[in-house]
Amino acid sequence: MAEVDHHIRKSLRARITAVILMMVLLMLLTGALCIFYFLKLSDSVNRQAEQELPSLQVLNSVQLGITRLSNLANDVANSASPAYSRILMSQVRDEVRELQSSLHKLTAGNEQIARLTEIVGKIEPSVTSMSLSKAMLDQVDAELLEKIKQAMKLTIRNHNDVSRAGVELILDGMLLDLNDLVGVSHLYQQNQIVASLRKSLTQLESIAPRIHTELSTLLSAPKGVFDLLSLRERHRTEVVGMSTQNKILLGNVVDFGHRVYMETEANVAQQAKNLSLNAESFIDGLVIAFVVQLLMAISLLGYLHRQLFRRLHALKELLSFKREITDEDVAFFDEQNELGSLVKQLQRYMTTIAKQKTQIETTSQQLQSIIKHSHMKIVVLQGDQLLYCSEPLKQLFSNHALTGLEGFPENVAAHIREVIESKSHTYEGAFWDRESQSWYDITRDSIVWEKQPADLICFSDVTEHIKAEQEFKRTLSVAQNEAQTDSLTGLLNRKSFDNISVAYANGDGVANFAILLFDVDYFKEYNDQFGHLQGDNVLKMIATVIKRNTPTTGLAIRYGGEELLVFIPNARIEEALDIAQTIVEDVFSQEVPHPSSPHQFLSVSCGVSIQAQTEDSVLQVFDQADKSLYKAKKRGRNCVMVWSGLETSLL
Amino acid sequence: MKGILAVLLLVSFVSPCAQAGKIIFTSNVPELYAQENGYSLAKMSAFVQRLKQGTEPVLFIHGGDSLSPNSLSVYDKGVHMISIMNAMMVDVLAVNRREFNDGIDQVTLLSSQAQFPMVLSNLHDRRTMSDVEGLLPYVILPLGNLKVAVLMTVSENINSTFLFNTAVVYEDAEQINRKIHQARLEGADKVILVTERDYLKAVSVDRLQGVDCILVTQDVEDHQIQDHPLMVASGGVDDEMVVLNVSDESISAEIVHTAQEEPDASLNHVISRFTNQLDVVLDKPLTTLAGPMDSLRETLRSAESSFGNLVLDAIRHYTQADFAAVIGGSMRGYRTYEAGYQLTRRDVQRELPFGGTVHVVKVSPTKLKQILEHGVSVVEDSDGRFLQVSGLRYKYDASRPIGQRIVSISDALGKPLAKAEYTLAISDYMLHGGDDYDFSDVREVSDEVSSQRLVWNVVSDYLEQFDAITPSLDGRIENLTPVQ
Repeated sequence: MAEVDHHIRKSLRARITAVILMMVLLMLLTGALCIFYFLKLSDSVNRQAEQELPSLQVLNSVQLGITRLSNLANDVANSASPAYSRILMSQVRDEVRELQSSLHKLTAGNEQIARLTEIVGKIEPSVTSMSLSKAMLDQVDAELLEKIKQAMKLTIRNHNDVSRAGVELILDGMLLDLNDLVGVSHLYQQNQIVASLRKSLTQLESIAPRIHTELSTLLSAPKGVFDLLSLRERHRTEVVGMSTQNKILLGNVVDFGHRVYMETEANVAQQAKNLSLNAESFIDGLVIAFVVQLLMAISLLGYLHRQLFRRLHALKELLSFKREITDEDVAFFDEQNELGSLVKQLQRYMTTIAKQKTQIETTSQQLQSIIKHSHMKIVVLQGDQLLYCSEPLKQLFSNHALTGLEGFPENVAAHIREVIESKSHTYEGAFWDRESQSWYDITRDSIVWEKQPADLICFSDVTEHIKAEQEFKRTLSVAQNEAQTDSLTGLLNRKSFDNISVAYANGDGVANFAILLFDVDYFKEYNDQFGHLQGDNVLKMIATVIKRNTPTTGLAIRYGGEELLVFIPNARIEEALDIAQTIVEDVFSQEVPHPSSPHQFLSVSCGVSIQAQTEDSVLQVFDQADKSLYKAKKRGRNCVMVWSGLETSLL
Repeated sequence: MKGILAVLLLVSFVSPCAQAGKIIFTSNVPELYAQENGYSLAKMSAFVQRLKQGTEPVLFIHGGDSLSPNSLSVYDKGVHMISIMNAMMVDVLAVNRREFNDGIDQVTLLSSQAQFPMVLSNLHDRRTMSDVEGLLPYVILPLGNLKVAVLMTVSENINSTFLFNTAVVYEDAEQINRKIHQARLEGADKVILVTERDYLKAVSVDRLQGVDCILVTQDVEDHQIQDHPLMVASGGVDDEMVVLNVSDESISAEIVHTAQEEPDASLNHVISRFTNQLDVVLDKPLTTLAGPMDSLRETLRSAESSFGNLVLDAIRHYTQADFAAVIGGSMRGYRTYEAGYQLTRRDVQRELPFGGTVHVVKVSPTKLKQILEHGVSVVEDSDGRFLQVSGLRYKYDASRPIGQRIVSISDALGKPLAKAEYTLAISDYMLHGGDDYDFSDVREVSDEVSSQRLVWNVVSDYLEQFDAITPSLDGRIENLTPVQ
C-alpha cells in the first residue's frame, strides 16, 4: 500500500496534474474573489450614489438657504419702508419653510440636524418680531417728523405774531434746535438739542405762557416730540437687539450647517477613501495571486523541464545514438515514474534486440558457409553488383562471364531484375536451359551477406515438377471431360451446363449467348411402343443431328432425359433460329417412323432465347427458352418458337 | 469685603468747599453676563442711576475696552454694547483699543447710535489724517457749575494689535497738551485724561500740562496710583468702579463696589433683548471636567495652561496640523473650574470672546523658533502674545536676551524637529500681524473649510466628543527663568 502511495507520489502524471489543479483552483479562487469584490464595490457605490450624495446635495442647498436667510434678515433690519419689510418677511417665511423641509429630508436621527432644526425654528419668530419693531420704528419716525414740522410751523407763526425781543430770541433758538433735530447725526447731539429745547420751554413758560402751552402740546406732552424721540430709541434698541440675536442665531445655523456638511462630506470622502483603499488592497491581492500563479507556472515549467523535457531529450539522444541503455541511464530516468518505466522497458527490448542481432549474424554466417558448400545454383547480388556466385550456377551459364547482373543472358537478367524490383518471391519457369532440357524458377530472398543487406537469387530446377504438372493437367483434363460428357449421346452433360451457368454468374463468359432447347415429341409414347433401347438409339440419332448442326463455338448438351440444349456464345438471333430450324427439319427428315405422333415421323420441338442484355443470367435465358419450347409444343410440335420478348426484333 | 457698598478707599484732597459733583468711571467691561465675583452690568447701571437720581450732578465716563470681545460682539461688532451703554446713561465713551476690534469704520458707524459722545484725542485715520469720523478729540461736559473736559489717548501699539497701521497715533506730550489747552480755552474748568498704561510709558505724566486727573484703563484691582495729578487705575470684569469727587478746588477718588446693588431691571431688559433667544445655542452642555482647570491670565501669558492645552489640542485636531500655537491673549476667561464642572458653549465663548478663525501655515523649524521667540519676548509683562501650543514642546529662559530665550523645541514626544517643514495652526489675528507676529513670509495652506469656523465653535465641537475630559499639564511649556 505504502509502495503504491509512493509510486503515485513519484508519478509524473499525478504530480503535473496536482500542480495544474492547484493553478486552476487558484484561478477559480481569484475569479470568485473578483466577482465578490466587484459586487461589494457596486453595492458601496450604489449606497453612496443613493444615500450619501443626495444628502450632501440637500446639505448644500441648506447652506445656500441659510445664507439667503441671513441676507434677508439683514435686509429686514435695514429696510427703509414697511411694504418692503413685509415683502422681505414673506421671503423669510418661505426660506425658513424650505430650510425646514430640506432638513426634514435628512436623517431624522442626527442630533446635529435636530439642533439645527430647532435653531432654524427660532429664526422666523425672531425675524418677525424684529420686522414688527421695525415697522413701529418707521411709524414713530414718521410721526416724529410730522410733529417736528408742526412745532416748527407753530414756532414760525408765533415768531411772526410776537414782537417781544426776549421771546423772539427764544423762538429763534427753538427753531434752530428743531431744524437740527431733523438732521442730527449723533444721538448724543439729539439729547443736547432736547435739553436745549426743554430749557427754552421753561423760559417761555414765564414770559409767554400761551406760546408755551401751544408748543408744550407738541413737544413735551405725551405723544409729543420728546416722547416720540424716546419711543423711537426704544424701538431702535429693540430692532438692534433682535438684529444682533438673529445674526447670532443665523451664525450658529451657518456654523452648524457647515459642520454637518463637513461631517457628511468627510464621511463621504472617508467612504470613497475606504473604497479606494479596498480597491488597492484588492489589486495587491490580485497581484499576489498573479505572482503566485506565475511562480507556479514557472516552477511547473522548471519541474517539467527537470522531470520531463530533459529526460525526453535524453531519451531522444538515447534512442538516436546509443545502442544500449545502461543501468546508469535507467537510474537517471528514475524508474519509478512513467519515463523510467519506459526506459527500463526499452532497455529490455534493446537487450533482446542485441541478442537477436548476434544470433542473426551467427545464422547468416552459417548460411553463407552452407550456401558456399551446397550445390545450389545461387547468386548474391547487391544491386547490379555480384557478391557471390556458386559453382553450379557458373557451370549453368558457362558461356557467360558472370561478373555482374549484366553478365547473365539478357532475358535472365531481366527476370532477375523483375523479381528483385517486384519484390515477389518467385518467377516461375523463368529460364529454359536448352542444353540440359531443364526448366528453372528464379527465387529471391533478402539476406545479410557479410553484414550487408543483399538479394539471394536462386535458380531451382523445376523440370520434373513441370513435367509432372503437365502430366497431371492432362490426366485431369480427361477426367474432367469424362465427368462432363453424357455417356449415351456423347454430348456434354447437365453438369457442364451448370458450370457454364456458374462461370457466367462469376462474370466469365462471352455475352449475347443463345440457348436452343429441344424436346423429343411424344418420346414417352415412342418408348412405350418401341422399347427403351430403341429410345436410346433415337436419342443418339438426334444427338448426332444436333452435334452436326452446332457451330464450333457452341456447345451441345444433353440437359436431361429427352431434353437437349445448344449453347452458342456471341450469337445473333437470326443465326440461332436458323440453327434451330435446321436441327428441327434435319431430325424430321430422318423419317424415323413414329405412329403415335400426329406427324408420323419422329420430330423435335425447339424453344429459342438469346441474352438480350448483359445482365440477363444463363438460367434466365434458359427459362425463357423453356417457356418458348412449351409454346412450340402448344403450337403442335415439330417447330421452333422464339422467346416472345425477342419476336419484335426477329420480325 | 465685597459686601460693603461703601467707601473703601478715600483719598482726600478734601477741601472745605462744596463738591461740584461726582464722576463715575470704569473700563474693560465687555462681559454681558453677571459673574461670580460680583460683576454685573445691571448692578453697575443701578449704581449709576442711583447716583444720578441724587441731588448732586453726576457724569459717567466709560473708559472703553468694552465693545468687544464677547460672544455677541463677534456677530454685531459692538452694537449691543452701545445700546447697553445708552441704557446705562454713559455720558462719554473714551474710545479705547478694543473698540477698534472691527476697524475704524465700525467705530464711526457705532458713534451714530450712541446717545453719548465718543472721544479719542491722539489718533488719526491714516486715510484722512484727521480724527476718526464720528469721534471727538475732546468733549466738554457740564458738571454742576463746572465744565469738565474729557480726553482720551491710546498707545501706539494699537496699530499692532487692532488697527494694523491704518491709524496714526501721536505719543507725544505736545500733541495732547495742545488739545488740553484748546479745551481750556473753550472754558473747561477741569481736564480729565483717560488713557492706557502703555501711553504713559511713552508720554511721561510730568510732561502733561493742565490735567486734573488721569484715569488709567486697566484690567486690575482698582487703585489709586498717585496723588498729583490724581491718577487712578480702574477696569476689569469685577464689581469695582471709581467715583471721583470733583469740586472747584479739588478732585478725589474712591473705589466703590457694586456687588450689593439691586440689578437695574431696565438694563437687564436691554441685555435680554440681545440674548433672550440665544439660550438654545449657549446653554448647550458640552462636556464635564474630570479634573480642575484654570484659565488664569498670568498662567495663559507665561506658562502652560490646562485650558490653553485644551483649546490648542482642539485647534490642532480640527486643522490636522502638525502643531498649533495661539496667543494666550486670545483667552479671556481668567477663572478656575472645579472638577465636575459642566462646560457649556457660553463658557467657551466667554473664554474665547474674540471668536476668530484658524489658519494653517507651513513653517520651517527656524521660522517656528522665531515665532516662539516672539511669543516670549515680552513675557515679563504678561503680554498676550505668549503662545499656548499643541503638538510641540518648548522651554524658555526669560533672563536671556530677547531673541535668544527659547532654550529648546521638540515635538510632542520630545524628539527634535527633523523635517524641513511643518504645518502650524495659528489664529487669524496672528496671521494678520496682530501682536506684531510676522507671517508675511510663510505660505498658508489653502483650506477654506478649516478657516471658516470660529475658534469657539471649533473648541466646542472638540469638547462635545467627550462625555468627560481631564484637563492636564504635560510639560509642553517649561519656564527655565531663574527665580530671583
